[in-house]
Amino acid sequence: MYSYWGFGLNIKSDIAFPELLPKEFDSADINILTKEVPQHLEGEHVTKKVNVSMNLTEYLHTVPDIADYYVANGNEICIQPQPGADEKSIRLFLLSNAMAAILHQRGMIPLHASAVYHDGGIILFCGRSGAGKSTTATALQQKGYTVFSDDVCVLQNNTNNELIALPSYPMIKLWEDSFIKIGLGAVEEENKIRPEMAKYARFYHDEFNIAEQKIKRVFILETGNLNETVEIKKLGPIAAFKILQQNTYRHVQMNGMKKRDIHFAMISKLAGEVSVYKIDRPALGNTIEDLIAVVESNLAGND
Amino acid sequence: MTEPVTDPKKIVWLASYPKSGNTWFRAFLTALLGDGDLNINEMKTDGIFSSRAIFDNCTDMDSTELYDKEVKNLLPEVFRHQAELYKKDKLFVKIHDAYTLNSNGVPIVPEEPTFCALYFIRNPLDVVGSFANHNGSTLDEAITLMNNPRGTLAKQPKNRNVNNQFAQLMLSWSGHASSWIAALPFPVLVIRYEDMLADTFNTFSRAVEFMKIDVPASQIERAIEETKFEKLQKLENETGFQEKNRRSEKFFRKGVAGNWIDELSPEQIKLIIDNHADVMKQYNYPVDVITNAGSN
Repeated sequence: MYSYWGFGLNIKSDIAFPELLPKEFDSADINILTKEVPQHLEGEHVTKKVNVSMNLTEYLHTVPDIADYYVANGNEICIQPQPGADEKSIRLFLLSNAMAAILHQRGMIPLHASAVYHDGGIILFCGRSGAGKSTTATALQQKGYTVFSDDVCVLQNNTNNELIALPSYPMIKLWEDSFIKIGLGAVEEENKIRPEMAKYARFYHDEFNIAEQKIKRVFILETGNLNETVEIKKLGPIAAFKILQQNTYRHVQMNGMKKRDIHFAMISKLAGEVSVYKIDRPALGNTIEDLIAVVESNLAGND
Repeated sequence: MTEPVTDPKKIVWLASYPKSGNTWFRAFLTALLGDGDLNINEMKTDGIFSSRAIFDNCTDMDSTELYDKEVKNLLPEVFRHQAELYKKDKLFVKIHDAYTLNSNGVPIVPEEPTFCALYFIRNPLDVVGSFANHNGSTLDEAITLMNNPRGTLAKQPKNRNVNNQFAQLMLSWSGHASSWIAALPFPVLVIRYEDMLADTFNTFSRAVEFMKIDVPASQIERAIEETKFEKLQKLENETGFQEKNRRSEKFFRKGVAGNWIDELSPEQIKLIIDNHADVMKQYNYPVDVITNAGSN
């Protein structure tokens, strides 16, 4: 068995995850096992969608030609790979869907955000897939910032009932296009996140720190048809709440597992405690330098 | 309380090659089924087939992590599910994809939840200028796309896959039309854009009847009045239009038939007619026009 840390949890697995951080521990929070999964979920309150169903404590997900995943009680993931499926894809969908189900089942809040360290805590970059979260975090990394987490940050109340965030795992996923925009040099075939996808992994296991962090500021990244320049705007608490809620990771699971209440409470707390800014930028062209300039100016105290 | 049972066949596909009257018709439907004060940025129709948001919501996936082939294989099931989710009697879904088979050999457009389709067709010679304007491209680039047997809309550069719409395989202009006007497993009404312009009331009434929407003629007249081309242009000037391509100035450009005479060179006209004469003739678009235009 392999032992790892990811998303705030100690993970035992019978398959290797180069994406996760190796870690020794006494007792595991979750076990990942390769074995047969149930055909369907029994009982009441089952929400059925396309190739996925869930109830309060179970989640069953089929990715055609890749694998079936069964997630139960916040502590168990079973994988039944399809014949001939590639291992990268099997791991990718486990890390993005089954792990999200674990978090929702445990009442932890995954937020769709990348983050870097700043000012004794972290700053978050939220946005839909493709909004530029990973590209922004990597561009800041190139300027000397340290990356806290890519794509997902897990929100929790700590033992002092303070809102804190935990990182996911030490891998940044970037489109090939972003390597060019940030000037990262050539991509390497072996780092493709799936065999036929122009998206690549950048590992940062050496910099990765699993300590919880306070959130100092949130930037929401958006692109739009009508923007011609990069613009930043501070959001009021209600607008901030609304937009943060839209950035819950896997909102289908939140609804299917009836977790809206705890999400509401956590997002309200975040919106109430932290300044939230929305950055709009043009949908076309390379605006990453302008974006970084706007962020750094904001962090330096200019609104 | 039990939910009212609605017919499982509830999707009306509003299918067309781009720039063929689809959006005008959706504005008309919005006015017809709404209650006045048309807002072109809040159409009452139910999204587009290529919508990433609909797909992700039905599958709990982040579709940016999927191959296009995987998306197309799941789409029939996604729209079966989408139809089940809605309590409404009818769903009006816009689609620019050609009617094709996915890699499982299954039509991407599922039969089971489909009520019918409307297919909007427009003289391809007029589509050229409008499509070029929409894409911010040259006329020649629009013609190349319309003549490409594997023509694709919204294909992202550098293999990225993050836009809010999936790439849409349209085939060529006539490939698109042929795919939708072939014998499909559901009823299809073909509507010529030119008829929408020339005989608006009868053309729209026929469509309304085909969709089995029961409304009085006066309501159709009112909706037509509310969505006259000049009014849509005025609304776009006032509020902008979010469906406008970011590369183009205006979505509602001219809205006329026969403008190609002033827009296309004889060579460009020939390129369209050489590739699409069969379907053009089938829908009464003249194909012996090059000499007329050449003298313009």
